[in-house]
Amino acid sequence: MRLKKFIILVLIFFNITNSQNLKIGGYIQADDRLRWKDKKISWEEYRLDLTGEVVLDNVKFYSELWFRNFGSSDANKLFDLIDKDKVEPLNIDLREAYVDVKGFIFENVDLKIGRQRIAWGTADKLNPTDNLNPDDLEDIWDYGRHLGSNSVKLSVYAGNFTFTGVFIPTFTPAVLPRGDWLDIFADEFSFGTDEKQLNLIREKIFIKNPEPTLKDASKFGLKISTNISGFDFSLSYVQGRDDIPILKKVFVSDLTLSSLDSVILIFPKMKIVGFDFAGDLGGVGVWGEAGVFFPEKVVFEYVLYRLGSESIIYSSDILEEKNYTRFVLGMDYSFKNGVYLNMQYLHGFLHERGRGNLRNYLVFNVEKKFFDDKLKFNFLSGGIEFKRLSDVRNNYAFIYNPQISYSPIDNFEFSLGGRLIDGKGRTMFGRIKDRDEVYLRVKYSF
Amino acid sequence: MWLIVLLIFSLLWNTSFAQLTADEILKKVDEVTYAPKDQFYKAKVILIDKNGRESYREALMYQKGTHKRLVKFTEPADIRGIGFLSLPDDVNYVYLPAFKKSRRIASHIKNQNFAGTDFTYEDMEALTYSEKWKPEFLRKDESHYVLNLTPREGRTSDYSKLVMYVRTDNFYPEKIEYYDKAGNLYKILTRRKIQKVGNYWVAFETEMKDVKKNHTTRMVLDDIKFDTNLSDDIFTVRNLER
Repeated sequence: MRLKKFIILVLIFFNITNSQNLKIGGYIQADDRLRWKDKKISWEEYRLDLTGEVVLDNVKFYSELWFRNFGSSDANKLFDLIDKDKVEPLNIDLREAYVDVKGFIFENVDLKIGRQRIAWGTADKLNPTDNLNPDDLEDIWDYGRHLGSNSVKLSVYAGNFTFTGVFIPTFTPAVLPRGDWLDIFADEFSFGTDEKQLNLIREKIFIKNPEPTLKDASKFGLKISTNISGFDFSLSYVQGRDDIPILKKVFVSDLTLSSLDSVILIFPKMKIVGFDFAGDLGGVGVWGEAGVFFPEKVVFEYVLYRLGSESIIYSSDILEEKNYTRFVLGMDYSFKNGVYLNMQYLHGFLHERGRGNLRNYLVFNVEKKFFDDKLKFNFLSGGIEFKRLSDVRNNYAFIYNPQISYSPIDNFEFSLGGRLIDGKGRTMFGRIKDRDEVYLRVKYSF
Repeated sequence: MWLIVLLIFSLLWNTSFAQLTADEILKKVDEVTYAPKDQFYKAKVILIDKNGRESYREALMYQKGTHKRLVKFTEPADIRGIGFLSLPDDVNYVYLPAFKKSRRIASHIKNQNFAGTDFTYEDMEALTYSEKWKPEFLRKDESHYVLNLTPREGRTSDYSKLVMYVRTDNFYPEKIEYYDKAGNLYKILTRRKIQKVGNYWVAFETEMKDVKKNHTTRMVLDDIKFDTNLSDDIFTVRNLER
């Protein structure tokens, strides 16, 4: 019986492959990181990426799946050990699954329906205008990663212009950093507590999702792109909710942390006007991108309740109804000796909100390839974080991230690197200055 | 009488070719090399390192006129789906499937090797020889005109000069030597299996050898099609990202 089923499956597979022109691809990747200070495994991920694609004339079907194991076990009790899903959990992540129709009704119209990644912006990985898909911050070192969204995308091509409209009917929040990496966002989800205190109260922090109605939970975006005098420009508008929650209410019975009852976070509504450009200035690649955020006002309430008497509510504006702008300016250049330089200045990381809360980041990468491009050395790679230049001595963080990648044969890459982190004051990366790590990543594509 | 006329005509014919200027020869080279209105082919690219080890790439190439070109890699798996679009006025895009978007690339990349081959982005540039290079006649041997090419005023190049060997029978540029800024021989391009397909001459095998690194890229063409009225839509970011 089993053999029969197997044969049928194999026949179906080959039939689909041959008749439907199904192309299967993907990669396998092992990613292991070791924290230098305490020699703890700080990240362990084994990933199988599987893509399937069928192209029939003007219609493309595409899907991408991740099958992952994070090494660690979820078993905490004796009887968890009889459950393989807890002993060796497998995480399945549907990254994309869509149908893309070229020339939908009209020759110059494309329609894409399904779970898809809609990547907007011209900057490298740090994109203030990339606000349609929820952020996937699971791995904080994989900047710019987003989840796919179940959505409809319509593109109209008219001469030198492209008009794009996107509608996402349901709200999906961002995925936050896995494990204790969440500490870097401590300020966003607690009220003056540090990362250690955040861990003590994490079970008491709740999120309030928007009502599942189109009015409350949907998101839409419009974009117009063109090329003028050799430069690419685009202007965009997105209306929806921020996918990273913000503090709304704290319930306590007295003024100590131990009396904390609960913390409520909400996802504030946002309107974002975006602008980006990219081009060539004297052989140097240049780009810029800005997102002007118009948030709804969020009033934070600190509710002190006492049995038998009325609650006392202290309130303050945690997010003002004032616009703020996150932006990126970047450049890249390849020197004649083969050295490649990429540098970006970022004002406002993706979780930072409000005019007074935006920090500055200088992100850079200098690399050179050797031995017929088989070996790549990112010898000056990393970033600097600071709030104000005038106070940079007391308030800064830096990351140095050298990496060597080696591809002895096609499709195979082996990367070895390290992250040295230091900082002073209250900076995002300064919070993790004790987490220097080395890592090894192996990837095989098929 | 007829014999004399024929002799005179033949003499005039030979004299007229002998008197071709370097500019005229290069113009004829362009007419032969860029003769098709459009072309499509599948290319198998073999990379050979100094130890003789080989690795492979496969790509689809679309070209319209002299200024529009689209290359899409189909193999190996780690570069599958990467696309390169070259448009007039140095407007170039690369599509990287991992990032789900195309990226504008500036002209600094011209001196970099394209996808691990010995061709630089400059070598892949969709420009006619006459537009970019100023020719000088060096000599004529039994089967070749030999031209010395230097960048025209206002044109930049990573090479100080090219020495081009043009076949006298069909004006096909069979061999090109590339010299670096210091004047040293840097790369040699050799075209083989030059055959006529329909009205056009085509080299089914092109080899670029980097003499400094002792590394070679051999490109073998297959399924070549000329003048199929390729749509302008092929040479758009819209198509690059599909």
